[in-house]
Amino acid sequence: MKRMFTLTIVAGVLAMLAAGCATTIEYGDAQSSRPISTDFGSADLQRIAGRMVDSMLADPVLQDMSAEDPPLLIIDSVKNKTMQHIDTESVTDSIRTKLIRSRQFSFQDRTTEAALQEELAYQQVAAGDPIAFGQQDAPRYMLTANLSEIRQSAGRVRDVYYKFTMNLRDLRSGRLIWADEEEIRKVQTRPVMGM
Amino acid sequence: MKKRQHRAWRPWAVAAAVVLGMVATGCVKPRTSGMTLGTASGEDGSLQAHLDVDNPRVARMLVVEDVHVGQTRNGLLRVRVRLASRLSRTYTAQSRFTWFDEEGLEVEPDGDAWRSLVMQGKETRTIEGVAPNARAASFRLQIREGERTRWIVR
Repeated sequence: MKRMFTLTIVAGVLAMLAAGCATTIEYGDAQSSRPISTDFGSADLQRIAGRMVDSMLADPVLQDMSAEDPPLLIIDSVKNKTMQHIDTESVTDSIRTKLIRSRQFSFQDRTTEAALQEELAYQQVAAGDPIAFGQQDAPRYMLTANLSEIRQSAGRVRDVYYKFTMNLRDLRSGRLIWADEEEIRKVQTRPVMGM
Repeated sequence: MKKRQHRAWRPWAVAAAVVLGMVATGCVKPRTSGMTLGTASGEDGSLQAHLDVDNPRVARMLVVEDVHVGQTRNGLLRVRVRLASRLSRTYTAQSRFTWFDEEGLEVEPDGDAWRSLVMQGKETRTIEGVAPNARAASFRLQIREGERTRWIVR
């Protein structure tokens, strides 16, 4: 009986070692919402992008605006007011991509302006029918965004609150014609004993 | 007689210890099936909602109270689903919309990510999805249990 008990304990410990100590590498689901830490993660980015795009596509004012021809927008970089280093351009890239693919909005991209200028300058000297400078359409609307966080820790609990706010501004009138925000709360609770 | 009884439970005890050990270290993959709410065209051409339950545990926790399928002014499919929690405590689930065109082909595959859905006890909440473009004619909403990360040793 005692030997049996020992054997069972050894088997359990061996199973724990085999399962827990082995390093595993595998492909994961890119759309997964599994939180790994309280830091800003891919699921948070996807959630924010999805929610902002849904809100813009469902807004009646913006629907009227894009009823005849997709309005031309420009998107400003997100103001990162968090304590983390976040590639905020990735957030705006996702939002812009989804909006373009909806065919309800069109965009100009200022992040590739240097390459554009270089190409146009090259065309002036090398191309038979170059595109002249100053031919681009002027965007009527500008998307701006803020990402902020509030961190709180007490005892075993670490609470991080993120707020992403996005505005669409009419450059002619200066008015904000659409705004929405998405809130995310991530909570980490440490065990009573251990790390 | 006593020796025979010991031999009879020996394999079960070892197997239980192994399974318990693996569960304790997070070796067992989480169950990612849930329930799926979708629409299909009925005989009269109207959209009929249907609910498929692959994980009864999720269906015991959440109930679909109402489904509203409409369109935005620009012809994008817009779906609102009202969910209610049957639990008295907080339940974390996740949801994802998938969109299909008139031929039943998926529109913008992998376009929507899983979104976490935290339901407080006995709470009723409406989740909304807007189709990514005007080609979408029907939808599927998947709901499954929320994922969490447990670090035994970090």
